[in-house]
Amino acid sequence: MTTEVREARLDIYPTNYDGPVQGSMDLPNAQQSQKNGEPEFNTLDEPISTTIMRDLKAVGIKFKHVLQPKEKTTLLKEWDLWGPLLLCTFMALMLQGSQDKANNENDGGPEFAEVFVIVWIGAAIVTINSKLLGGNISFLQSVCILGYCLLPLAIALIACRCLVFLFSPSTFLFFTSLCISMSGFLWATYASLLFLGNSQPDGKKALAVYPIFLFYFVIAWLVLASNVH
Amino acid sequence: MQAPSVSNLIDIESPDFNSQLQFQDFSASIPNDSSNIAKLPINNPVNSPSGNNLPNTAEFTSKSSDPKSFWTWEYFQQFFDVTTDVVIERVKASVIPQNNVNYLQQYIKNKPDLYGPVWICITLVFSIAISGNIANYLQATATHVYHWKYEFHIVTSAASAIICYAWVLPVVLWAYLKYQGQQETVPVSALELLCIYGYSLSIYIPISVLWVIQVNWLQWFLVGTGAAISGYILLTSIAPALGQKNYPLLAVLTTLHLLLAAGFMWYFFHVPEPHYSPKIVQTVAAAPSVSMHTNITH
Repeated sequence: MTTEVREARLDIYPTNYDGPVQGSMDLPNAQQSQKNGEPEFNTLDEPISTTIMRDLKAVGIKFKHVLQPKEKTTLLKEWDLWGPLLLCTFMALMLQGSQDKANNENDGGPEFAEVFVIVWIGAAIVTINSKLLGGNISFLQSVCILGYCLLPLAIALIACRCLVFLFSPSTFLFFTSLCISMSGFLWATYASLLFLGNSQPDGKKALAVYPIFLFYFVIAWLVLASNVH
Repeated sequence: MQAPSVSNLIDIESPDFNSQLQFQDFSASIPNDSSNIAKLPINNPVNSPSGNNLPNTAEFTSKSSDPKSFWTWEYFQQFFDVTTDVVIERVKASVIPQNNVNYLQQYIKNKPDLYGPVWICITLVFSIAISGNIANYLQATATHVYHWKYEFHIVTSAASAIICYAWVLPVVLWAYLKYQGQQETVPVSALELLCIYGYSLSIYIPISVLWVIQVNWLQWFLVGTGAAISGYILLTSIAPALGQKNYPLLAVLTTLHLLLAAGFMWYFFHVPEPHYSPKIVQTVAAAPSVSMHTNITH
């Protein structure tokens, strides 16, 4: 009798293993997979470089989605704040006014913390506004999208800096950087509206869109003004 | 021996198989539900709980009988319960005032909102900061000095001036009316005062853009226009509520109002006096090589 039972169990296991039926999740298989040390869902054992690379890859994929804004779900569902933090730190570093010139002259640029405040508090205010208007999107989802959509403006900032380094100041240079930062602004607004546009009731869409517009416009102004000398 | 074992196998497998099938159905139904929950609020806002809340908040604001807890979204949502059309209509009416129309009675009274004041103030802060910088830049290029620096901290000073005027002043005024009037009911609520003050500033947004044009008489003409339009809206709304005896208070309000308009002009868009610019031109003309040199090295 005991041998029969053993046989039966041995017969059940292979069918669980091969077939598409995933009842194996619930019973002894879970324990067995831990015993086997399968690293599939266990992030404790993996080297730290793998962890960082996986997160960076996720951030990179979201950057790609911002630059080609077509598919919404990746940014909306798997939100994170790493990308916004990277972008915000980068922009704050680039935009901050230099305090220690040779003649101890303070050029009027914002300080590092002020750029940080503008980006994070600005994104928070825009999000609070859309929540108060009755939009249904979670707070951090919206902050994540607003932060990721800074990418076009960061690219515009890099482009403007390169132009300033390469050419001497002139009216032509001014208009070129004006065009670059304005296209960055339009791009950022378009991308964020694509992601956030559906979250508002019908009669209030423009009320929620306007603050987003203003948010990116102010940052685009910072980008432009820091490159005009 | 073979045959019973087979039957035994079937006996053991079939309940197990069934339970697994059930389990699989169950587990498959969970992701479907969660995906529906995750998608629905994004795609059709009508079905969402907050969408259902809207008529409720409308009822509450019209009755103003059932106060909600201060620490909830719903409490603040009732101040933002406006549609695009209403906001556009209110802004339009504050920019283009009609004759003999009490702005408060006509547009605000049934439902004061805070969306307009908040975003008009923020817009005004940045439009003044940006166009103040552009005006500064134009002055710098007009004197052929390309050594221009933008001044970010205009934002801070513009923000503090505008917050003081549009947010602190109405609250102070309301408190003054409440404790000085000795009436059971204050004729205007704090919310209505905030709303009127916020919307009355909207005329300054286009004007602050136009202030960039560096013509002195035009700039002062714009100051006068802005002060007149926004003052007209303020006074026609507030004066009936203050009663007869309050001429000193009206004078104080008018003075503060004119001070704000002139302060914008003086502080952010000031064109240097005409007798300064010839000096600069003279020095440039006297020693062109030196000044050019310093400009380039800077």
